[in-house]
Amino acid sequence: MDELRLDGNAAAGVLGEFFSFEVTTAHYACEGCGRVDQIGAAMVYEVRGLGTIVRCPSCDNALIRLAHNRGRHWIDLRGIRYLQVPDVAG
Amino acid sequence: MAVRLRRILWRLAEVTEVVAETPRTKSLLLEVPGWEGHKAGQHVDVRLTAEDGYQAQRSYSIASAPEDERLMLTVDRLGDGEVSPYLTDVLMAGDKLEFRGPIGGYFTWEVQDGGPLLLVGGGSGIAPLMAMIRHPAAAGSGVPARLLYSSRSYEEIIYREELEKLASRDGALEIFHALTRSRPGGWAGYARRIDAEMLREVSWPANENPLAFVCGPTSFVEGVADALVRLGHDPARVKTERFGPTGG
Amino acid sequence: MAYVYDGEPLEPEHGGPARLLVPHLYFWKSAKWVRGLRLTTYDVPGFWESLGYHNYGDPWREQRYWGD
Repeated sequence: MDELRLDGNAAAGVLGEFFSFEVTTAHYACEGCGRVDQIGAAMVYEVRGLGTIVRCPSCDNALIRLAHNRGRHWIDLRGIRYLQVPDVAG
Repeated sequence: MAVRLRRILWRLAEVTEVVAETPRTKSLLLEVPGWEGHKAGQHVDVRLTAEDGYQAQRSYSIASAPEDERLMLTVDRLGDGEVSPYLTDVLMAGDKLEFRGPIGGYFTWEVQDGGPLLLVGGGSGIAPLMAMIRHPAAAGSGVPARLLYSSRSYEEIIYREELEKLASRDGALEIFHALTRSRPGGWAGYARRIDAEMLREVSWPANENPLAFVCGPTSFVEGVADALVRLGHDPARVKTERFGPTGG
Repeated sequence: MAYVYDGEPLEPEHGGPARLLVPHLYFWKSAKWVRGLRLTTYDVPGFWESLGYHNYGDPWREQRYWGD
């Protein structure tokens, strides 16, 4: 269902709940295909009532999986080999 | 250099005015105590809480320039929407609205990022692009910009008059409209959906290294972005903001 | 596995060409767009089950989340 696809930006709000830096401009390396790009360029799927999935635009691998239930955040970053961000100002 | 995020917490804005832009869209003008400013292209998340505690949340692009005093959100009324009908039909001046933001760093533009700018919008996708257009107008810069804006009809062109004013006042801004469903008599603009040929005619040549921002329904955005890349634009300089299936 | 609705092929919006239909559990267990089935002798928490959602999911017992 391509129509449901959103940009990395769409996850900026929920990612900002537990990352202290602006995540969409951070670079990731995909565990599936090795692609390196900014999170903002990845694809976001919001599954109503369940969570959010960020997928690599090259290989569709789930980079980040998020859920929020019973007052807990669940964050699965297995699909990312590393996240890289320049020194944080201030 | 990355920016340390302030904790983006939910807070309340006060609605100062609700403006009808077109038959289906309204702009909300908000006052936020202690607003720290934003970058053109960023959005806010709006949250509604029903009496039974049920919450619904949606993202809306900030349509106002960083220089503007009040925040503007432009809402497309979706008939079966959970959030938009409340914002367009019920919300009034004086009401409070829960939101968090500004959010986003990837789909943003400020004058120092340079140009030339190519902005392509479909329907309510014009909102973040409008912040980008209002920003150099307010900041007094002359960054060359071209807007290609697709709407269903003349009456549904959001910000139509303001766009005309900004284009005639500022030689750096050129506006091209594409009307896809109906057009007024004597219409001289494009009369079809945006396609590769139209983009080729309107966009800066790839060798001028423009920055492109494309916003609107997902299928619209993907078609335009693919066409721009095939026309030779650097994919890293084509930024997209998909609104999903219904365009907001 | 469901692949037809009202005599027509199941639409992508509803999980077509083929989706799981598990009527006795919460509907999010009825995975859409199924690409394959693997039968095992052991259980592995699935996509949402590994993010805090209940491993079984009986709506009559309101098993939404881990520990319910």
